[in-house]
Amino acid sequence: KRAALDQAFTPDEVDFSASKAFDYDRSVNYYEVLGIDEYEPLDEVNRAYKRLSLVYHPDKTKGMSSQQQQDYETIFISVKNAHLVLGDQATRRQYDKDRDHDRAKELVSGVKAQKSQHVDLTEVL
Amino acid sequence: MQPASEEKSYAVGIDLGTTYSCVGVYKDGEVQIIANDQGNRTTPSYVAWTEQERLLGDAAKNQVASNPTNTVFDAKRLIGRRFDDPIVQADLKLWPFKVVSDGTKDDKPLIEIFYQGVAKKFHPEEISSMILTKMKQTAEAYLGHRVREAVITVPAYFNDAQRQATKDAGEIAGLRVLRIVNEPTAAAIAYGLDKSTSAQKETHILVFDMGGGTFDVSVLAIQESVFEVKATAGDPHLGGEDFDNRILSHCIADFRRKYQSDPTRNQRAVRRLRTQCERAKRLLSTQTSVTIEVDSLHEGNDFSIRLSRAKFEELCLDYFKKAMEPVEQCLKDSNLPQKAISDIVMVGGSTRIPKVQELIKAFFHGKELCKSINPDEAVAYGAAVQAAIVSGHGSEEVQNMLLLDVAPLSLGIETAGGMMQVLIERNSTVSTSKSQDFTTFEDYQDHVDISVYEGERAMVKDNNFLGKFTLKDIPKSLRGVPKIQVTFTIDTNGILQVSAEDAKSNKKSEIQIANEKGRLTQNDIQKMLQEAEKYKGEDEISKGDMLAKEELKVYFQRFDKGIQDLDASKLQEQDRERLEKKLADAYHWLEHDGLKAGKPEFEAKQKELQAVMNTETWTFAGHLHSALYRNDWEWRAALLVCREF
Repeated sequence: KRAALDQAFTPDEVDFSASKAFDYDRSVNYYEVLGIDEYEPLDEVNRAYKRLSLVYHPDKTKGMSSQQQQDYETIFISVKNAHLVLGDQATRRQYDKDRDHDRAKELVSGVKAQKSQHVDLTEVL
Repeated sequence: MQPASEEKSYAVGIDLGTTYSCVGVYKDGEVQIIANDQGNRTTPSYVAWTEQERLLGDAAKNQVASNPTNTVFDAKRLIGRRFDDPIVQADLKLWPFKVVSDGTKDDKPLIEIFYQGVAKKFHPEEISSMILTKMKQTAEAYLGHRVREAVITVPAYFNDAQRQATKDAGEIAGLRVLRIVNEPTAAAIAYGLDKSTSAQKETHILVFDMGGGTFDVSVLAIQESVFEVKATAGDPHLGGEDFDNRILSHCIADFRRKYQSDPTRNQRAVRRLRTQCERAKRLLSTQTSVTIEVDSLHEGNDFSIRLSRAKFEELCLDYFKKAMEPVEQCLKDSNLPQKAISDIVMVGGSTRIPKVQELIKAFFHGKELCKSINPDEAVAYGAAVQAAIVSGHGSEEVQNMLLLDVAPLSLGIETAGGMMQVLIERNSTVSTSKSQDFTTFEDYQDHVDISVYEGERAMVKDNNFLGKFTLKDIPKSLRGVPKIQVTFTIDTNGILQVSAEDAKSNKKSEIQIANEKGRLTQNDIQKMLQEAEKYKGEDEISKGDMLAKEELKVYFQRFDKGIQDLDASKLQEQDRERLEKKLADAYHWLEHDGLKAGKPEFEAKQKELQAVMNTETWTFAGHLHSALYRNDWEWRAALLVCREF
């Protein structure tokens, strides 16, 4: 499905054995962290990352209260990590595969995959 | 009438260079590079003391021949370094002014000059602060306002101590340092603004920044006014001055041959000759040969030599070639194919040298270089923009810009066997934060020492030690049981903070590395990186060995525990004895032969033990093996244990 939307998408078996750009947590929905759709092309991933950085980067929080600055910095770091996962083709595919696996398990056995708390920035963009 | 208190204050950008400095300000929607009182847009980073006064900038450089011992330059090559640093010791021989150690355990260098008959000593930070003061005055004269805030640039490869020292220099000069920015990054902003790319598409550029004393390469991605540094590499001690030195020694050798006398002791002569060498080098960028002439250089002998561009290139070729290594490294780190680089931005005076341009062009298969920005002013230009971004002044265009910079070296802690466990990898975007769980190495260990290092090698002894702290009062339990969370945090200024927390007792302990002085020298970083490359294979092997050994040890424990846990009634006495003997044998082997053994041997031994265990227990304790592996993460964590006190 991704291939249809993203011309630059070139799946390769090597992707699954490549080393990860970031040691992701499969229970986090990084797509929601970046506020994007799951089949968004790489370009869009990068763009979302940059738009969110413009809001949450510590350089942009001057004049806010220190509590808010800290909150924003935490968000920036999670956005950055999400970009590390989704911005690298091999890592993204491994992550997708893990999540597909969890979802399949949920369908078959009814075992709900663990979901962690994370920021959802879908609304921000 | 405006109330007097509403005084407008500007934030300036200062490029504090090894040989020249430059200041710019963002005003009325554009950047102005400010000319000094002599009308020059760059100011020599020189400070001099004459009989009557202190001179700064052009005035100091102009009188250098008549006053060599009291004219100080190259402070940037000393800043944040130790006196016993081999780089400092090597440079020392070429400087006409005197540098001494401060005699403390930090072994900081001090510059000694004579002023009004008294010897005075200055820290390199103080010299730099004088130059910064000069730049500040230049900006104030132009703006007609006081300048209180500044962004100062440093080579991307400056380490923490050097950044901190540069920041100190700014504070000494009465400036609030908003940010320390990497020079190639600043240059990229200048390029990006120049191109005014509103393009939606991401473009990648490579900045090649070779100045008077340092050399940096950075790869950046630019998209919609967001500048993201992908990777950075460099050589902290490579630049125009090194080329000057080569020409200088060439000239001195020639003088010796001609007159059988050595001018190196004559500071004044050397200084005059050096000035001519620098001039010759500049001329050789536009013409193919030049004559270096100094009348009455030494013992009344005139000196004259003809230097062709080809000869100059021959003298410096190894330097030029060396400059290509970081380019390669940087491209590799950025994970980009060579053809993804859409522009190569040349910054710094030394990029005018035709041979340097030729080499980099050849490296990119004949790709045209971008020379549209002023190589001397680009860094100050970018710094001025960054000052506007950070201070919140400036137009909307600037407010929409953002700079995502990286940490130049990997950071981590020491773990079992003296291995380096990296938490933050080189070229990670700042600010960043990362946590990892560790555990204890010994039974009933009640505290752990956490040693923080920076560098790229697998063993901590090859890396640079940054600091150490202790987490105390861990509840006593068996090894591998406590969970200690170590967190590394780097802020946008590149200042590292490390904390450790025990999950059970919530005891917390932390350290800020920022003010840790006497840290690694530039030379060390570079050497470490080069060595890291060279020894990469070796590291892989030793890391593999170490891990295999640790795994085997852990398996021993589990094996032992497995035997204890087995229901006595189910295990026949002779079987138990056999297992125990096997374990003892294996343990003996590890203690004796294990010292020399490599990864394959360890793995073989572990397999052997597993086989024994399997056959023994298969029939009646099938669950045992799975029990052994139940807490897989637990023993994985045990491999990464903090070294005991």
